[in-house]
Amino acid sequence: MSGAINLENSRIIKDLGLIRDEIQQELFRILDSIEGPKGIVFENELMIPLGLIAEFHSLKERLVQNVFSLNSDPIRTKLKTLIFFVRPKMKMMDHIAKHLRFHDTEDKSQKKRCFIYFVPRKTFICEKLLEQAGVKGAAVIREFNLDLIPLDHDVLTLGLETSFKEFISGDTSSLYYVSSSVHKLQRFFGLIPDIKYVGKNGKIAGEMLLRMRRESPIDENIAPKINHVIFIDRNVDLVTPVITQLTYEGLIDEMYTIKHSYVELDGSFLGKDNQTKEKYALNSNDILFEELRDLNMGEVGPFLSQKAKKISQDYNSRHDLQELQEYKVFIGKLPTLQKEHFSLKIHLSIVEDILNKTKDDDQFRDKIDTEMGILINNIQANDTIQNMIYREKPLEDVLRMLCLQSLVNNDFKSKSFDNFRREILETYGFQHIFTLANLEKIGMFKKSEGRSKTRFNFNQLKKSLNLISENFEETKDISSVFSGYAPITVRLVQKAFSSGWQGLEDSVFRYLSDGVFGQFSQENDLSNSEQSMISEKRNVCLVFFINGVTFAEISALRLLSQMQDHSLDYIVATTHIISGKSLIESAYENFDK
Amino acid sequence: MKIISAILFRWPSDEKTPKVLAKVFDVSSFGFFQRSTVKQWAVFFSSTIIERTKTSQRQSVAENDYICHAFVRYDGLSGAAICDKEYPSRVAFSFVNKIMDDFASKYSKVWDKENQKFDTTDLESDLEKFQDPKSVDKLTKIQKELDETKIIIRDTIESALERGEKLDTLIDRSEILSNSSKQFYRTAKKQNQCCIIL
Repeated sequence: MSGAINLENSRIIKDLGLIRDEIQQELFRILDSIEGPKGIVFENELMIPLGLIAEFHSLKERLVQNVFSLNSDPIRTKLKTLIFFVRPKMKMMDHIAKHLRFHDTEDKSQKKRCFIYFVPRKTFICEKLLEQAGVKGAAVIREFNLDLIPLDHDVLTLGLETSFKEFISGDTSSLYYVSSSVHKLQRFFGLIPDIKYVGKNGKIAGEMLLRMRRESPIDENIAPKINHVIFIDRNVDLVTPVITQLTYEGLIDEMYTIKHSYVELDGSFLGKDNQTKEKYALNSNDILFEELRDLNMGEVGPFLSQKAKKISQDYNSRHDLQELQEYKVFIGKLPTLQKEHFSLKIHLSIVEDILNKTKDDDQFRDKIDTEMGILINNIQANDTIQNMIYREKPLEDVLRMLCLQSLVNNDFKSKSFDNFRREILETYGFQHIFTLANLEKIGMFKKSEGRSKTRFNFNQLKKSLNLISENFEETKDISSVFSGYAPITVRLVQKAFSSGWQGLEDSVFRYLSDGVFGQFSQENDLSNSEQSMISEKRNVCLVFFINGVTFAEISALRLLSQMQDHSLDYIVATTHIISGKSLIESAYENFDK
Repeated sequence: MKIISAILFRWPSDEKTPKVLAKVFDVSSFGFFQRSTVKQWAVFFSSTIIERTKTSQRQSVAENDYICHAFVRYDGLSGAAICDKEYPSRVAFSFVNKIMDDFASKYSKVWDKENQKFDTTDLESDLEKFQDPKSVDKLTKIQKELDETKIIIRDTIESALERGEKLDTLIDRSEILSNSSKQFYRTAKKQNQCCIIL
């Protein structure tokens, strides 16, 4: 897909592009091994990721004539060969069985060859389901090992959009992919000498990684390009994802939804006359966006203003050109200036649109004021939330606020809890019995069981991790990502490399609902700053968020990396990128066929 | 700008006066009855100046509205071109150089011997060519091309910058944005203990 991030001479790990190249080679090998004109059938979740790996024209070169979407309607096509790319999910097996049965009833001369490639690997259950549907023999079953896809120089995703949902239902199978993908990174970039983890799932992932190393060892003589890996379980911090993100990229995700770095914008933002939506890639290819994405929204306007004036100045310097040499220099700069100019227009349009939408909706201002009120002052926002329900605001917004209050203020009193429960079911539908049950299960919205029962203690964490830091503009603290609140997860990372985690057992980890933490290290245990003084290069730390990460947290890590006495570069890997909305929606149960 | 005459002389060091080898004129700008007088004057003017020019030396001397550009080569071959004041001296000298080189290579063994009648057709054509200095002189030519290129580049840049939304509009929009969004995404400094928002 055009717009995929250019990874040549990648910023933090120069050869990061190798992992994408390898997946691309694998895909091409698969397509080349199947002769003749073919059609590819993707499930929706895989459309964009595969598009980021290979552009359509290179698929065409390999005789792919058509690309279809996998759903319950059988595909009608004259093509004799069909290749399915699916995740090993039950629903997909259903669709495939329908397709295979449909094609099977036709004339023998019209017989189609079907291949099913499970991404990233096939499971016993799926094979069994196909067998039960009676179609197992009708297709060749193989695997396509797609795991981490780079979305940018410092963001890698597994694209497992259902990870959090699986976590709610107790399914931890995605942990295998977490560990195996890190193990694969070690093949390219060397054995990672230091493994840290926080959270139960983090521990499992770390242990699995160690076992994989024993089973298929990595050459220890290559100097590692990644010096640390930290596995963070989403469960450790469920507060951060429900708060409204206030970075530029975070707010775009809240308002428009970014899918694998693509966002749908009005054609007019891009200078086109039409009213149709256009897909635009938000990544470091856009130089302006790279500088904007991590800024607090309040700083975006002034930045754009400055930028506009500078571009104007640079353009106007053309009137002073005399010598041919000066012309040459100017023309050399022109393409970059033009790109910035084009980009400026797009971002101005986006920011104006966001501002209009958030100003019109008086609820937005109330929302962030209430969130801050809960975080800073432990207010009881029951009346606000009540209002939101009366005005039938989107359920995700209501639930986010409820969960925030529940987590920060140590759950709800019995009476309010029952009240809200009833109101929600009556206003939004009884299917949400399941939603509320799920949220209760993971501890996001529940009745208080007495002080001793609930471990999570936000107020203690506020103190020990300095979570509230309101003059972020002067201090350039990471709390700018939420206009004054620093994400718990990122503070934990910060502590890991400043004071270390040892000794924080009583002040920090005791108050996390999932406070398991630890480290697996090779002997050579130099502190990070000592190591970088020796090598002069900055160390690289891979932070793997299991079951979801928000853009605000990614921005916070980037800001952390730029802080003065912090000499680490961070690369974020995750099962998938989430927002408050997608997190809550994971708790909904699907009832459609 | 015009060249009136181009005359080649032979003036070896042992002789007192330079001798004319070949001469060509363009007196079309003069009235019919003046022409022969002008020619005589040109020969006289040129030989006088040559006489007063040292070996391996160039000089330009003005009289009234005309300048004589003279060059005496080391071996005695000399050339003088009379041009009007506008004609660039650099081009005049490259003209003189050219006709001298061409003449020398054509008549290499012969020109310093006894007087002969030399064919002047080449001289005539060179004179005609050099009447338009811009087209002949390489340096002037390059300068002209440079200037034209600069104009083309300037125009291209202008049209490239025409595309895309006008920067002034963008600057205005960003100013407005800047002012209205600065405080919007922050909560009020003082937060009430009990916020009731209806």
